[in-house]
Amino acid sequence: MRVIETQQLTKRFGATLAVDDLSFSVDSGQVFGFLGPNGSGKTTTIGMLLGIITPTSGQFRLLGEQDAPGLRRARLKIGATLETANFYPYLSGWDNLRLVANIKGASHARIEAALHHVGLFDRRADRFRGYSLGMKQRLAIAATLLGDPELIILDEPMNGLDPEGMREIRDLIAQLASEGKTIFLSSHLLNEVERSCTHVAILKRGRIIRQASVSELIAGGSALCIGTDGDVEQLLRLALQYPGAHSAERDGNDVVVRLADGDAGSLNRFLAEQGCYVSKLVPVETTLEDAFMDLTGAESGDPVQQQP
Amino acid sequence: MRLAVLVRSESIKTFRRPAFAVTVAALAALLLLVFGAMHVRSVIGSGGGSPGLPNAWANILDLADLPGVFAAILIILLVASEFSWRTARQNVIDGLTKGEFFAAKLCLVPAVAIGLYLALVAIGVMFALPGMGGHHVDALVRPIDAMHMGGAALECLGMATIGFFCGMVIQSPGPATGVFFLYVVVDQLLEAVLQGAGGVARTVGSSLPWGTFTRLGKRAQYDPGALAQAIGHAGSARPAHVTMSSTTEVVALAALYIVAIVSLSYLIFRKRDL
Repeated sequence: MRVIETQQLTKRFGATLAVDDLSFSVDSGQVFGFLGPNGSGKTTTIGMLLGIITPTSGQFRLLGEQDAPGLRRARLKIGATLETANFYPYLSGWDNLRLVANIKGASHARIEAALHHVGLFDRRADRFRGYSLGMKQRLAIAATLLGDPELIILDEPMNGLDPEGMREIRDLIAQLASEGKTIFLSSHLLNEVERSCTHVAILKRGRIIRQASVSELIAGGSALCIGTDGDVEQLLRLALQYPGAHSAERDGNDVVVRLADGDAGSLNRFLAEQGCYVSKLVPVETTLEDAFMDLTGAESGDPVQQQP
Repeated sequence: MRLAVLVRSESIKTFRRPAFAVTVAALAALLLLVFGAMHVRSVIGSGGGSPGLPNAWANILDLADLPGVFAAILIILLVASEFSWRTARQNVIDGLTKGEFFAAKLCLVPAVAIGLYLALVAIGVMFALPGMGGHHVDALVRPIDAMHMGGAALECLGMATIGFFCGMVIQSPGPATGVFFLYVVVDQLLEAVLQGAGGVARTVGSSLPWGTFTRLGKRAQYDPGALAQAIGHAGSARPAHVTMSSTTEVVALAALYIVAIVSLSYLIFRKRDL
């Protein structure tokens, strides 16, 4: 089932085009990473989905609903937090969740369960303003759980957290995913997204430049480490000339080539045809960060990385 | 519209808010000080004390500006903070519609305005009770007092509505409070300037929102004797508040202003992204 589906969603703030003709979809059960540099339009897109920003044009469906009353019903089945944890600083964690539960029609038992879930039950009487950053984020996640949501939207949930806090949030996300919740996670922390997400969409300057599963994206951005007994500079020059090369850079006596198509055989054939025989051809493990940098660099029209 | 949900949420937020307790306590302290000073002046001047009811109503209700201004400031604090803390946005994310959020905040306006107005009445009556001694009075509240009471309540409501507009539109407590006081000064200056012009300008000057609300809280609006006394005090430079217009007209104008201010606030709020 499609949980989120957008079609040509666009948002313009005056002369600034924040989100440009955005079309993507999220299926039930996915842990979906929404990636992009700061200012790429992630939060604006989520704001439109959550009804706090009015789209300039385009359409979207949430849990299959498209019209205003349907979207309102759908939003009651969504738990979401945008940017920072937004709570009343003078109220306790418990009272803040009471307010959310009041809106969502959730019981006190659910508040207790949510606080236990995020490990804040013992601190429930403390004022929100006294919480650490990690506790604030955990309270925000507890709030998203109150309505027993089908979809959880978390915008930059690891912002500003120390490694321990990040691990806590990552574990929580994994736990929620194992319970069958669909999670839509916006972040620019690629490491964390790679560890937590099953699927990603990469956003740049308000446009989706790639949507795929994490494994597909990493495989698709495969790199090869090649070496020759001959002239390394010639090898680098030829690798850069190869039509399927995304980038090539020298790494000691070797050359690392990032391939758009992942076809190592074709590269080897091309080099041999040019009279350059490789003595080493080893796949390099690609991370989401590598794939992200390749995609966002290529999309912006930046020159292909060339390092002698 | 889930009114019970909205009222429950707003009451939790308001009663737990330190700004609410501080504002109410400050108003109570100020009223005790003012009524106390009036009592001491009466004791020194006439040898008696504060007048008893129903004569005391004029003095009590003439002070309705105070709860009105305090209500406006409290409303600004309660409304604008929702935007600076981004809880307005979160409330909508959690499931309120923008209309419901607006309605929840709007419910605060009469609740706070009337609540603070009742504080004025309660403290004023507290000082008036000893002045009654054992004297028999025909009615504790005469028709003219009832009219003045209604007008003073509407004055508080009108002032709180201006505070609501500032909080909802400016969305930050400090600047909203600044703009509120700036508006009060500008309204009064404009009224003074237009009063001097005569003709239609004079009518316009005496019909500006703040002046209209203030007039409703003054005894001179309902009591020709008080009006004559005010005119006598003012002499040739007669300000607008001693120009008696029909009370019905002033009430209608005040109600119109309240509806217009609330409608404009909603239109601006609805158009904005959170």
